[in-house]
Amino acid sequence: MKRRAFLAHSGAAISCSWISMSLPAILAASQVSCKAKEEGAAFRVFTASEANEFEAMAAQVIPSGDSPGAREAGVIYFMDTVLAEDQTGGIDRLRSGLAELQVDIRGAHGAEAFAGLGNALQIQVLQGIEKTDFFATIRYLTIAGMFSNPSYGGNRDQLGWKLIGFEGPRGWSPPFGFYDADYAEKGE
Amino acid sequence: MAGTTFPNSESVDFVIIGSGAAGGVMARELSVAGFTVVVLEQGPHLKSGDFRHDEWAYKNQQELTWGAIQGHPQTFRSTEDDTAEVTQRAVLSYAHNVGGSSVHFAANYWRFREVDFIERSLLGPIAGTNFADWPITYQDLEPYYTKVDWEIGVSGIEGPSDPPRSKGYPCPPMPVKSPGVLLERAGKKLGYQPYPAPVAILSQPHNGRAACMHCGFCWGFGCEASAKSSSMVAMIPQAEATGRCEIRTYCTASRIETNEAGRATGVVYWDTDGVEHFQKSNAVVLSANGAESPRLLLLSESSRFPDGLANSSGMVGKNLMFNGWSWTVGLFEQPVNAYKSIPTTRVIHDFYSLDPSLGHYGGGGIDARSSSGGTPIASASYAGPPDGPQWGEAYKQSLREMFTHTAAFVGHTTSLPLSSNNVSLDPTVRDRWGRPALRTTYQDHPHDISTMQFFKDRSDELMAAAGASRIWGAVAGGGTPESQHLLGTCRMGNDPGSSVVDKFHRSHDVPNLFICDGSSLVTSGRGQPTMTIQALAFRAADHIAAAGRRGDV
Repeated sequence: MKRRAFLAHSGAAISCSWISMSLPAILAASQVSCKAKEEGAAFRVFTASEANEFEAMAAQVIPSGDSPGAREAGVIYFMDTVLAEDQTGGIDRLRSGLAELQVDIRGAHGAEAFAGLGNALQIQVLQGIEKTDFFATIRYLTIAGMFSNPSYGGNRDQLGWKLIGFEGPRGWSPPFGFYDADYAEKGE
Repeated sequence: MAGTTFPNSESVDFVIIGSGAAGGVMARELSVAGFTVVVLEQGPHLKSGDFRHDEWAYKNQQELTWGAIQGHPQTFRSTEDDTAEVTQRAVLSYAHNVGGSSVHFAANYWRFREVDFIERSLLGPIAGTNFADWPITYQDLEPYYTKVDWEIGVSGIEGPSDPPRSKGYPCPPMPVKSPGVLLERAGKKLGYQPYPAPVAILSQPHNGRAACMHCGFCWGFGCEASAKSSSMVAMIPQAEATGRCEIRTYCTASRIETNEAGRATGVVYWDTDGVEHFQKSNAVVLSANGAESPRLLLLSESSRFPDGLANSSGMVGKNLMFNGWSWTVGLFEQPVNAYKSIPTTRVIHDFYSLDPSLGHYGGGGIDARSSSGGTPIASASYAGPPDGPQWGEAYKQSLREMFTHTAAFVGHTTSLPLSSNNVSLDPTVRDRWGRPALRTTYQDHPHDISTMQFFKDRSDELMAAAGASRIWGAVAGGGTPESQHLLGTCRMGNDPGSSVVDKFHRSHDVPNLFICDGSSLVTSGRGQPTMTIQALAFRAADHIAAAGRRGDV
């Protein structure tokens, strides 16, 4: 049973998807990690094969396709940065979850790695662990890496913000949306 | 230029514990009145230029609000029969910096109304609760609400059912956003009276500060334009300019000392290196918020005050109220872009007091907002419907419309005061200073839940009338992580047997100890307490200064 500790279904949906950096680490990361977002840069905590695995999972949370997804946005570099600074043991939890998942994949599909599975099988495997803390953590970090300031290493070229239509943090003038433009036009 | 400093060896007129919504007002009013003041603030003195548009840092990493990772764990339990457990995020959430939570709040400034102060008389008792009248009326507080409007800086226009006001707003309402238009049109269709939401954000330059630039990073963030009227920008600079006020940052109060005569003699605190100091003072003003004020009183027990300072009534920490809320999200055909500009621009107050024939106490307001605070990570995390796709291609396809095409109608509601809902000292968990952690014991009263549901139902109807193609939402009780309205825990009252401070905020038990912040509230109001906290602080400061001049503190 011990083996299931990290892939166990959690009552609280995101109870372990909590990654905490110290304030100095936040400030440092927001300033220096710009370097890390360059493709092919060295990772701080991930091995190359771990990075492959986690990036493949992130790419299922926000897939590539008609428009760029987590992979193109460099989410894996965000994950690496924040896990390097995390004070809650997040990297250990993720490694343990990955090890459990790989055992399952070997047993069920005869493959050595998640990233080595075909697209349909990857989706099927993740559907099987959808309710776990491990998956919640992957999802949380993927979203944060896709939509946080590019200075943390993800959201490369603001690809995440472009995806959702966020036109960058800056000032605005009215009208802000369709309905207030219409309201002004009709003189309501 | 270095600010004024006082040596510990020198007694000052007042030590003020906390520099937030109330403490900032106290510091400014008492120093302007001619008194010497030391303000103890446990966090840094950030300036407007320090604030960043950084959702990960502020919202996900709690850069301002702190939590267990910074050495401030909190515990929670529903009832006194349970053992409280450490929560992942602080239950009682507030910003640790000069200006306190007025720095990162959403800045909705609704006055309380006549009814808020006399509801117990109007409605009678509610079994099992400490529902009570206030020792003051709306008329007593009105001049101070006007002072908040003008000296803190509020934008708005008189609403259709406002209580009487002696003066108009200093700044016109903020420009309406699409969620506000949708609420206004739906409200009119259903026969309600929507109107521009009053907010402590400047629509035009005022008191030397600039107007809002509509960046959208208000709620949970500090304002880099100084357009949000925090204590940090509206009060503290004026206090410092007197030359009689020292803001002592990174200083955490550990204990209010009292002497044989039962008077406060000053405050013991730790500096940033953990070195203990004692600041002597003629009187102490406690404005540390509805969580920390009761904790400090409970920690300041002595042989003379064995149950905690100022606690002969047993009411210190009791009657914790959060304000309930409900949220209804709607999906619209055209771009809403709720992420631009301020959190809310229209409000409906037609349900300020619910009809007693409904069978439960309650009331509140409904305002129009973004579905998720208007920030990208939060939107992608939880803006969508709970049964919608959570990852994968369909999820990706939904992200844009969730961010740009949704609006939320949010209900803000009353909470009843109960002895069993309280802040106390955790028996086992300690914070970084070795103090017992804040322990919250809380369960919504059935009337509060019915009220939240009522507001959810009305919001759903409004959302349908607004033409949303899809509607979802929920009610959320108090005691959920990151509750920010921390109310009632050192309540005001005329009776020393059932309240902690008198109607001038002087503690019943310690004549030179004044307590003024969210803890002073007797009832919860309708969901936007900060303006009332500041009106109380302006009023208390007037009385404290007058008492000081006649040698009565």
